[in-house]
Amino acid sequence: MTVLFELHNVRKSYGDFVAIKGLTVKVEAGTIGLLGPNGAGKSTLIKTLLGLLEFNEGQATVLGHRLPEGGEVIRRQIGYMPENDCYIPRMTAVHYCTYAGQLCGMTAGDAFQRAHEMLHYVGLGEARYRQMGTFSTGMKQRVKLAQALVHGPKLVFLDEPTNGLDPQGRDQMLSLINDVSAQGVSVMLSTHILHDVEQTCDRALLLNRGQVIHYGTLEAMKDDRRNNYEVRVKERPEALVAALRDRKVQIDEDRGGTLVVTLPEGGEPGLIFEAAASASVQVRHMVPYNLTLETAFLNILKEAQEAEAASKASSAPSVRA
Amino acid sequence: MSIRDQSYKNYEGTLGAGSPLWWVVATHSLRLHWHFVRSKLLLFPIYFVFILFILATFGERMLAKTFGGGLGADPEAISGFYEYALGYLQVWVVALYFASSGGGVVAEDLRYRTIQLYFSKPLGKADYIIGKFASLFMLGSIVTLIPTLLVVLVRMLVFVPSPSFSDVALKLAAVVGYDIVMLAVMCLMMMALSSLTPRTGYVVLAWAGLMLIPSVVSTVVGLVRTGEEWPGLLSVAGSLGLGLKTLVGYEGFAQPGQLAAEALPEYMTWAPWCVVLALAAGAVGILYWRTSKLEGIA
Repeated sequence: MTVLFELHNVRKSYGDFVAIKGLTVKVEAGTIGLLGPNGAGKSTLIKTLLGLLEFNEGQATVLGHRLPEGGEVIRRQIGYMPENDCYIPRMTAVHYCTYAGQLCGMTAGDAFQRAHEMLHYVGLGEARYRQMGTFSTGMKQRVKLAQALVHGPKLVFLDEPTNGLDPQGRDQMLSLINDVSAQGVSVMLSTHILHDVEQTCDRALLLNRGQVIHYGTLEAMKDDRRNNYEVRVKERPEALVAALRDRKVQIDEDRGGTLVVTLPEGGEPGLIFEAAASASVQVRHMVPYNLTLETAFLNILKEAQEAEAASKASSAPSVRA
Repeated sequence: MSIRDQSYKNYEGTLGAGSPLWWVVATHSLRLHWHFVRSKLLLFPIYFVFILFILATFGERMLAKTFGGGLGADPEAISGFYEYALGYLQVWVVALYFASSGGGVVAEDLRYRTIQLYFSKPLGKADYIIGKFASLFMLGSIVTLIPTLLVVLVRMLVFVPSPSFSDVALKLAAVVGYDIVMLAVMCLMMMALSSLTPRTGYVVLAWAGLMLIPSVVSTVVGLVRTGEEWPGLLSVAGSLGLGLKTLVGYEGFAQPGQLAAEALPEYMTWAPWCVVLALAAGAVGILYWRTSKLEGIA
């Protein structure tokens, strides 16, 4: 499988603030969701991959070209749809896309023709000569996608493409992303909306505080937590929690009386019944926990944050009496 | 839900075969400047002034033939005052036109964040700056170089049979050269101001302040120091005007009964060009500083 980009120990800091801490990852072609909380380093990573930010340490290759030397060649093969509005209101959509195409090295004629094609493709054929200042949010998002695709990139970075869209607009945007991806264009989707990732992506790259905390298929993300069970009892759930904790079983959540129980490695579901019997509580409901992407994401994030806190605590100098 | 009747098709053409990127930036930016209705409306009064200059050429020639005139032994010799007036007027024409349509040259890219989009393409900072400069230069040329060349053409044709033709041609060539330098300096100054803020209104205010306030000051000082020209060095327009005098000659500014050599100014004749050069260098410095501050841009 073609490698989109490969980072080895890449570090980027802004003064004292380290935005990317020794990132090492190899990402193959496909549709990848770029996830992470605010300040995780997603935008810095995208700008680094575009060759716009020079990293302080490490090595990076994008589409077979080394950074920073290959920045211009890389940007010619990449499409970028920024998160925020970035158009001059009196520009028409066709002018905007033609300009974007020409900046990528297309001839004026080709760019103009292709701008029309892309605007038709994203459903803005009728509005292509309208000034963009008159566009709705959905139209603006679509024209940004059109300019990112105008030069036929191999990889597109989409930063929050469904931001501000109504459900219908979101469906349309996701349908476009799926179609682009199906035609062999790799897509990197940076978003906070995990539903969008589930709808479009086959893999996810999770960042937290400038570090990769997970990279793999969406299924693998959920599989990490397959030894989980959702348990409800008739009454006194706290008694079951205490009994399970005595047996070294982890209780992850307690949502309105529903316990999410994580069995230890090799642990059998019978352990839960045994604990319930010893605590004299009646189990009313017990099913394997169906992990959503959101829950999986939050779990992975929580684990990463706990691991980081533990590592900080262990590296802190001990206080002597 | 589909909003398309066909699948995405990849672009099969060659990338990199298009125009140089600075030219792409220049042409598209010019299109944006030209988009304003005021850009087109202002052409009427500006071109009217140039038409007056063309009419003045015929008037001057008619008067010289009827009554004699000019300098020294040649009754048809020219003083250079016409060329000075033609060149000096253009400082204010450019100032007005840039205030009307050029203030957003960089400021709009900062305000509307298009700058981050442009630099996500294979566009370098140098291409961007040269392109923006070229767009302003072309915009300014519409109201300076193009009409000046028309005036020059008419004036040359009028003076073809005259013995002072070569002198006229030299002075007009000086005006055209001056136009290019003046326009380049004004473009750099406007770009520098425009790069300092995302608000076009502030750029226009700063531009008006830069052009008007020193001019008022230099006029006041000039009134106090009657007969001295150095106060012109205190303003952009004055310095450019004094620089123009060094090109077209001082004959046209001699007092009645004064010899041309006596009309030489009291300051060093290269001083106006030093001021112009300093303004240009300052503008380039600001642009360099601003572009080096743009994080995340190639």
